Amino acid sequence: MSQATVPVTALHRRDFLKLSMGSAALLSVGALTAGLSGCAKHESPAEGFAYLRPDDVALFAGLIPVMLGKLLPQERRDHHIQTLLLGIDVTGNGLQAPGQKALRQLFDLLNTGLMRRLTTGVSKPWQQAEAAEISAFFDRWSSSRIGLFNGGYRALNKLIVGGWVATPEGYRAVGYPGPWQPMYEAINTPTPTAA
Amino acid sequence: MAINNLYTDGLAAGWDVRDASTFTADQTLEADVAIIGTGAGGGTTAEILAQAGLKVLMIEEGPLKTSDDFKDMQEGRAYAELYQEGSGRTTADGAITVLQGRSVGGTTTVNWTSSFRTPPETLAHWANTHAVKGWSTDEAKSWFDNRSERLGIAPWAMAPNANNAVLQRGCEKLGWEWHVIPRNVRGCWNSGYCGYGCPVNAKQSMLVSTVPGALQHQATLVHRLKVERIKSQSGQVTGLEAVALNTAGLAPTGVKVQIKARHYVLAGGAINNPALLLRSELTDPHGLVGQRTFIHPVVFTYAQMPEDISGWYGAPQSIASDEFQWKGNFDQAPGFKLEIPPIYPALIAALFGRSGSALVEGLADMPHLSVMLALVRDGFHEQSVGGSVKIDDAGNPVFDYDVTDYVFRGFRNALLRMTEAQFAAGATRVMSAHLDSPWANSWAEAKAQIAELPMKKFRLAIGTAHLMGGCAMGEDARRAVVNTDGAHHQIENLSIIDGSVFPTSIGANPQLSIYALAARNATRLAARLGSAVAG
Repeated sequence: MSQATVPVTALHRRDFLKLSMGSAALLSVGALTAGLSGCAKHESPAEGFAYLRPDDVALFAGLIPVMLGKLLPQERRDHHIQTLLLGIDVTGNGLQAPGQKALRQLFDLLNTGLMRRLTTGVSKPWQQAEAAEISAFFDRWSSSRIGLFNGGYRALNKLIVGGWVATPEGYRAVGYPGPWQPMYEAINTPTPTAA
Repeated sequence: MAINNLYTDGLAAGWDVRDASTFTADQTLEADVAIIGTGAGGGTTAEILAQAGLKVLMIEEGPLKTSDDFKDMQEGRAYAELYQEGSGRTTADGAITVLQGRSVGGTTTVNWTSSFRTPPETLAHWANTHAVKGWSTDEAKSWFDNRSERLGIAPWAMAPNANNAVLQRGCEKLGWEWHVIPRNVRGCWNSGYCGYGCPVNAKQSMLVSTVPGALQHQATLVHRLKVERIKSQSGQVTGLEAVALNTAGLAPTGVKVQIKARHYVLAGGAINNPALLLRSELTDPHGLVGQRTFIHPVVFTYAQMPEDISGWYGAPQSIASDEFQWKGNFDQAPGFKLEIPPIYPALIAALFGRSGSALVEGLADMPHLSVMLALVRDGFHEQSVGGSVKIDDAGNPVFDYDVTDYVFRGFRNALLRMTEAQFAAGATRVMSAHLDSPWANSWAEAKAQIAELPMKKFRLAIGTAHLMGGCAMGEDARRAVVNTDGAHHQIENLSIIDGSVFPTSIGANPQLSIYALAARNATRLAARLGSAVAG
């Protein structure tokens, strides 16, 4: 994960620098490009979600298995991904408007074909992308000299990893045995006097 | 066994607790004093004013959640229900994670119970540099004693858990100062679940102490009610405009509530108080509101230990070190306090920053993980002026916090010292919570690595759980929003009583600093309002 292992080409660096005037500048370019390319963005949430739009769900469904690696069990994988997607949705939905807007701008950037290719190096839509490509994107953004990309990576990482390690399967994957049993049992045992 | 959640019996005994999400019609509420916020500042103030015989109205935007709601002992539930923005609050650029409570009891419902008196150095600095008057170590002592008595605050008498023992052992090996942390608990089970809401009401949060204390003295508590605007005329607050929030607490129901009182107290904390004042366009002749917001920015190091740590169990914080807090060249870099965070799995995983195999390799053995943190003391130097709270077009708070080179030097010093302590305590490998940091297998290796880490936002994981300032106190109205009593310099019937009045950070976890100053200022306010009645 050192910088040297992920060369940023001259072309990339030039593009990045052009876009690095500030988060608003970069991310609004993403939104603007979406508009110009005639790529109609769903603004309403996906079915069963309160915050994530269909493209956002597809984005996370593509990123989750690569980011979590073996912390995500093979067995009932789709079910676990769905659980985590709903958890990420709750987190996004709980943010106030400024935080929600910033995240949406990040998602728009990642879901606009040209911007995705330019900034992440991933050429295919997220759910068709190879794991190696997605993994290279994580390295590229986390080791970039441009803070915005580091920040975008951190946001995706926090949502996915923090969300997953708050689920029972996520607990198991890191070795957390669950609530302290002496207390848990004591306070969850019904009182004998209860009818 | 059943734990008495206090509120069931209280409501049966006639406590006046109202859930604004159930309001079906617009209404007006009246009181002698309206207090916005029920955390360390608001809860303390409410009890003291109610005991003095004043009719108190407590307003809380968060929900009323009690020990019955905490029985699942689940981290995810706690973050979603008990924290500002579902624990997703950050600085405007996303670089600093902000953990701040949002339920009845405020942050005290979810904090980790560390209860320090304001350090004498901080109080002296406030008197000398910020025209704070009457709040010296000697003058404050009786108030610290008073709150320690009220909230069961005493140094933790049990042995530290294995996670905190790492800090103690490291300090002992290196000859560094360390001390046992005083905690606000009574009958604590030593479970470690303070951060998810105490399921047995051992933690003496405002939820189980002063808020019930106020309710027993005819106070009213309205939760799920958000104050949108303070109305004022001719230098007086004339009322509050509030909106009821829905059950989820995310959107207004459409019901509006007007609040009328003789006196108004802001206690919503260092982000929400300035946002409310700015939304309300209250007089601010020197542009001070929302400026100098301090956060004790925190950095972390992760250590793999040979022994079992299971740092999710046991009192979360019991050992601290001030070795680097008040000794050093503070023209170069700020001081910092060393502590241990609990190994709450989601929190520790979210700050780790790795993906794929590096994530799995780093976190798969969490029972042997110990983490150390440094609270950097911001606000004591001209190159550490804190952050600023502004509002967006809709009036939402937007919190900016720039990290200066001066503060970054403090972070690097802290990463070095924490790593040194963890290796001294027997760690087999240590890693800074920084995107570029590899695991180091020895202190010598780590030292060389940390010297090279780029000190940049996002690369370095930065968090805060302590929001202070933004409505500074002091006797000089050109430099402070309120005086040392918490009385607004320009508006006679408005006080601010909580951590937002601190002119710098504290240099220690702030809850007891808030309790003590709030107790004094509420007592003075009660005398002032009482004499107004008599007169």
